[in-house]
Amino acid sequence: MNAQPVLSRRRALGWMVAAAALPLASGSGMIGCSTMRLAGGLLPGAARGARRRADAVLGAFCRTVVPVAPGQEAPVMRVYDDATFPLARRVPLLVRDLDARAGERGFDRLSAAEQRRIVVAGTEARGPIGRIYRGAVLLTQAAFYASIYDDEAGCPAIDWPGAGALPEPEELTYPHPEAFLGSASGADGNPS
Amino acid sequence: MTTIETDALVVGSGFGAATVAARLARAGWRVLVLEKGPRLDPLRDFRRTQSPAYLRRYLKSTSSRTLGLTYAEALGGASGFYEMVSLRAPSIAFTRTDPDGHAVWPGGLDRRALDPYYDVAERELHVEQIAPADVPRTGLVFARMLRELGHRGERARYAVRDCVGSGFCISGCVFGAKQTLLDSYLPQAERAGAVILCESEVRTISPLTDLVAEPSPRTAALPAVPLRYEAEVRGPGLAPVTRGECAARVRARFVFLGAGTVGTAALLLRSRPALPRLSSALGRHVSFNGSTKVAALLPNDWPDADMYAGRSHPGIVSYDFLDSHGLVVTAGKALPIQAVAGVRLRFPGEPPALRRFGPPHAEMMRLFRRRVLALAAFGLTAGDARIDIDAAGAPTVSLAVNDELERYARGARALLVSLFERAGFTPLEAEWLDSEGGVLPEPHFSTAHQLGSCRMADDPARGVVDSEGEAHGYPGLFVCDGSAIPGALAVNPSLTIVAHAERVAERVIRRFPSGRMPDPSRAGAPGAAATRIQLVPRKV
Repeated sequence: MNAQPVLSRRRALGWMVAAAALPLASGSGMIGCSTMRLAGGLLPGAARGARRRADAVLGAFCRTVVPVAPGQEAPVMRVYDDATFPLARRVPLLVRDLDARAGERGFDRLSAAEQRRIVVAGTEARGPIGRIYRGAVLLTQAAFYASIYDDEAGCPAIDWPGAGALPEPEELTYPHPEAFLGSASGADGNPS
Repeated sequence: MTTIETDALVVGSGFGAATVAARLARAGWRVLVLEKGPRLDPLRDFRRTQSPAYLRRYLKSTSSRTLGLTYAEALGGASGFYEMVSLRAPSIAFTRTDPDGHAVWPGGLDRRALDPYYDVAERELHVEQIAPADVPRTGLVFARMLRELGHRGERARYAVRDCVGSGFCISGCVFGAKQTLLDSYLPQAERAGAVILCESEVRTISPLTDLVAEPSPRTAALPAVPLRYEAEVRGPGLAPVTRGECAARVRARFVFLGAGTVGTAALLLRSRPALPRLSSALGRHVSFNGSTKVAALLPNDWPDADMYAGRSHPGIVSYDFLDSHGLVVTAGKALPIQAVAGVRLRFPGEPPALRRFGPPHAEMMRLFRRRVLALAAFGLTAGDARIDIDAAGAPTVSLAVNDELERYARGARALLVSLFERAGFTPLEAEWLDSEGGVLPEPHFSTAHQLGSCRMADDPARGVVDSEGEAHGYPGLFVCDGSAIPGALAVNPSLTIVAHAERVAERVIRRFPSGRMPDPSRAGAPGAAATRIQLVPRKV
């Protein structure tokens, strides 16, 4: 049961289109103006609230999946809006499902252990929901560990230095390779 | 519709296609190369990145539950993105037989026959054995393991000059160290007058004449050979776009297919209605080097490996298991994106779910750079996979895992685990992932070493082309890429593909001398080929 209704951007947009179409259908300019003012005053606010809610849930999801510090999720969370990946279209469903599994408190207010249990259950779910969870976990990990939106940043958490700097020559190998190398079967590296 | 006539249409621009294009152009043939993928400038377009959006621009894949194939679609084919490993195929690879006992390779084709062409290929691609002082740490750790176990290890051979060890071989070398086809065969072809057009996909090929009623000459002066094939081409490279789709036709005396094991098979399968005599072997007998991988944790008292620093391939291979197990063992490296997207590792006995994400997964990722060694076994597995096309003509792959393949996979894994255990390493359990993060069934093979979808064979019932790469039943239609290589090689196949293409080109040029020399005024001319097109389009 959702404690707080979640409004996806798509649904909010749909409401706004429907609201804009209403005066045309009614033929009443007055109603139309009122409806547009109503829509302009309320729906964007609802959409903003939905976005805040989605950000809170996705931030918690992000912290469950990768060791990102609270408040530092934004670079990783870009992946949820990246139209390159099919996941972007399904994020609203992920947010709703995370909250639905969390019950009245909402996913972001659960303990870390409870959040982990929910994500494990999601990844093991059958059908489209399981695919969405597994894909979201994979992309979150790619965005964080491989720093796919900032090649230079790297990921200090796993000692990934990023693409900004070349390794120093002494990092490439060991100074006495002969201490490692054994016998070879041929002279030039090719098989016989 | 635009129609262009040429002596040779070369489809693709990878290892096989570029080689043939350069040789024919230098022999005075008029050559048109059509590449489906984009034009690439190594110093402008390559990036040190793990961005999936970048990688997917050039690297494509087709997969099933049991086999995933990766290939490149770009000028130069896979040469921009491979790990530069350039090894000759072992002699034992040429002695393999099909399950019914027939030799896989055509008669007379073996390592000795290919060695002269390997020599040429190595010269053109500047292949050299890696110096001891350049072997990356991961390779040295693997070498020490082999030495302690009494096995031999070889320093591998690479197409590279002045490698700086940036570790981004798979996304293209921004330092120009990798010796790609963009540095060798393709500029040679252009200098000799070949026209290379990108973003031009050959959709179908059909014969212009009744090749049975009017047999083509087996040998002749090139001008005496009639235009025999017509290709339907899509893409903005050759003709302006009209109504959202562009179309052009190329008529050629000869067609050389070099679109790769996946692309060439798909093209011929789409063309089959017009080429009904193509062998039933088309799309079948696809081999994949039986790629099997196991990772392990280094013993505490061993020096660090390093997944990230140094060239992508760690420098050491072992041929000690070719005779006993039919496979070559090599160490492997992986950038974080490859590790995250490909596999989840865990310690023995742990539940699979434990390290899929969160702190336990992060702990394994932290160990991954320096304390994990990954080994891969490349085996002489049978060509059990097949490539088909879907309703849109796009390639699909399938592999029915039979008992023999299951036994091979178990045996290869057992060998790698045994090497680790005997050396005191802790082998890790692994879950291999599909593109959506789902867990793949075992065994699952993934490779970029696919071969054989249009394999060579003396008998048309067993292969699509003959030992010289010419299609059975279709004179003048050649296959010059990995799809003609009839079986797994147990090593990276690029050098063998170049050697095969060198051999195909040499024999064709001998049979059909052009009598023309390349225009010396064009030798060395830089710039886009489209500005130098010598072929005369005509409206029909």
